[in-house]
Amino acid sequence: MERIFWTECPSCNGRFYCNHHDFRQSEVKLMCPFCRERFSVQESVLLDERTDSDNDSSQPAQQK
Amino acid sequence: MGQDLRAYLSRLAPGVSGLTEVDRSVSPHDFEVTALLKQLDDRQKYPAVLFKNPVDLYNQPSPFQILTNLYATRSRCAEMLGLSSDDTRGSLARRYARLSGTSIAPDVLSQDAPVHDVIWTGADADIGRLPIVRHFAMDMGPTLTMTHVMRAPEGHYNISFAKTFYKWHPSEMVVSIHTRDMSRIVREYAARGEPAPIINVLGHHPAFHLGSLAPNAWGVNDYEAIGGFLNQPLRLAPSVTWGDRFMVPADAEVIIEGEIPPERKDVCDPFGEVARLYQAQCLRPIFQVKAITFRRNPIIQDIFSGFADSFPLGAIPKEAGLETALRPLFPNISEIHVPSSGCGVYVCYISLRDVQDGQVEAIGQAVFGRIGVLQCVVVVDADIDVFNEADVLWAIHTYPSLKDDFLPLTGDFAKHPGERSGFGTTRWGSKVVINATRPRHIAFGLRSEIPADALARMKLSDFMPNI
Repeated sequence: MERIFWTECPSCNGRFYCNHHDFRQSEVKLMCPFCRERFSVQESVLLDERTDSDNDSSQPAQQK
Repeated sequence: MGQDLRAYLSRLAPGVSGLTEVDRSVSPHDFEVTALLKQLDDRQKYPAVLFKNPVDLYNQPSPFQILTNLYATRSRCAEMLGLSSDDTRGSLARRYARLSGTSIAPDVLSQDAPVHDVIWTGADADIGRLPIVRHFAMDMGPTLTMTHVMRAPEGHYNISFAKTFYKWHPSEMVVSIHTRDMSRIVREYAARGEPAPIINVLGHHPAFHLGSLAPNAWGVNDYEAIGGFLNQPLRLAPSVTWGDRFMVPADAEVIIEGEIPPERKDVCDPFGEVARLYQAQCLRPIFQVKAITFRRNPIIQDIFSGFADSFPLGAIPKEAGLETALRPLFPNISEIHVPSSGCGVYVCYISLRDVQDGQVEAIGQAVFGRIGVLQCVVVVDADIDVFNEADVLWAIHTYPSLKDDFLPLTGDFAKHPGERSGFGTTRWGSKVVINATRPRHIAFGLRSEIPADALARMKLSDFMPNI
C-alpha cells in the first residue's frame, strides 16, 4: 500500500493527505487543495502517519 | 472523412439511455457538473451528458462544450467498438482483444485538419479560457482527465490516459504521468537535457480513447494501434509547435500542445481516482503550454472518475487481457468479468465449467501474473452469472469455507500487494483468491432452480405485458 500522511493546513485548517516518499523528508512545500496555501510539512497543524506496521498504531494523531 | 466524436454523437439517441443535453449554464470548476452526475448515479441513470454552456475558469461564457459520462454503460462501449448494444458480456472483451491485435497505418493530412480550425498561441493559449471540471471536494483543483500522446526519441508514439492539473497559471499545468512507457519517455528526454513534447487530446471518437488503454509493448506506434480500434486509418496532421516532428490527431476536438521541461516538478493531487479514493498529493512533471487548437464548436471530454463513467475503462481492457491469456490455459473457463463494485480495478470474477482440483488457485496465480493491479479473484461455477453481482455474492456467502477457500497468495504477490497503489490497492496485505464453487468433496446442498422447460413456456410478456 502507498504510504501516506494526513496533514492540516495552518491557514484554513483543511485536512488532506500526501505521499510519504515525495514530501515527508523533503523541503518541497505542500499545497492545500482548499485554500492553495503553500506550507512545509513542519508547519502542519496535524500529522497522522500511522501504518499497520507501527507498534503504536492505536495512538491518536500527533497534534503540533 | 475520419472517425470523430461528433459523428459518433449524432448516432446516439437523445434521452436517458443515450445523450442528454444541458442548455443551462454551469460552472464546472465549482463542482456543478459532478453534482448533477452524482444525482443521476443515485437514480441509476447513465446518459452521456453534453453541457452546452459551461463557463470558463474566469467565469466567462465559453465556446467549449463539456461531454461527460460517455463510457458509463457497457452498451455504449460495445457500440463504440462496432458491436451491438446487447454485446455487453464476454463478446465485448473478446472484441477489444481482437482490436488490440489490429494495426492500421495512419493517413497524413497536409492541410485542413479540423482540429486546426482555431489556433491559440502565445498569450492567447491561456488554459483559464477553457471550462475545466473540478470533480470532488478534496481535489487539488480543476483537472483535465483525457488522453495524452508522447513521442519517444526512438520515434514511436505512445498514447495513454493521464490527468492534467490546472495550477492557476495561464500556461503551466502539472501532468500526472504514471504509465511505464510515458515515464520512460520523460526520463529519456530528461537524460538528453531536452524538453519532452506532449499533447493532451481532449476529445475524439470514443474508440480513440478506449484504444489508448490497450497495453501495447514498448516500440508499438499507438497511432497505428488506434487505427485498428477505429477500423480505419487515424488521420494525422503536423502539430503547430513542432511541425511534422510531432503529428497530432487531425479529427480531435481540442488539443493542448506542450512540453515537459527536464527535471521540473510541482505538486498535484489529491484527486478522486478511479477506485473512489483520493490519490495522495505527490510531485509530477510540469506541462508548459505551447498552443491550444480546436475545431469550431469544440467539445471537451471529461471522465467522471470513480463512478460508472470510469469503470468500463478499467474493466474492458483487463477482461480482454485475461480472455487472451487465460482461455488457452483453462479451456473450461465460461465467462470473465471485472465488476463495477471493484471499480474495474480490484476484483475479477471467473466462472468455470467442471472445475478441476487445484484449478482455482492456479487461475488466481495466472490472473495476478498477468494484471498486477487486481487484488481479488473470485471463481464460481458456470451456473453463476458473473455479470450478476447478486449471483456472485450468493455463491461467496454460500459455498466457501472461510478456513479453506479464501486463499491469500504469498511470495512476490504478498510483498507487493498494492504495487501500483494510489489507486488499485486494498488493505488486505495480499492477493486473495476466493473459491466460491460448489463443494465437490463433501455432501453439500443443491441450489434451487425453476425447471428450464417451465421458464421457456411461461413468457412474462404473455401474462404481465406491462412489466
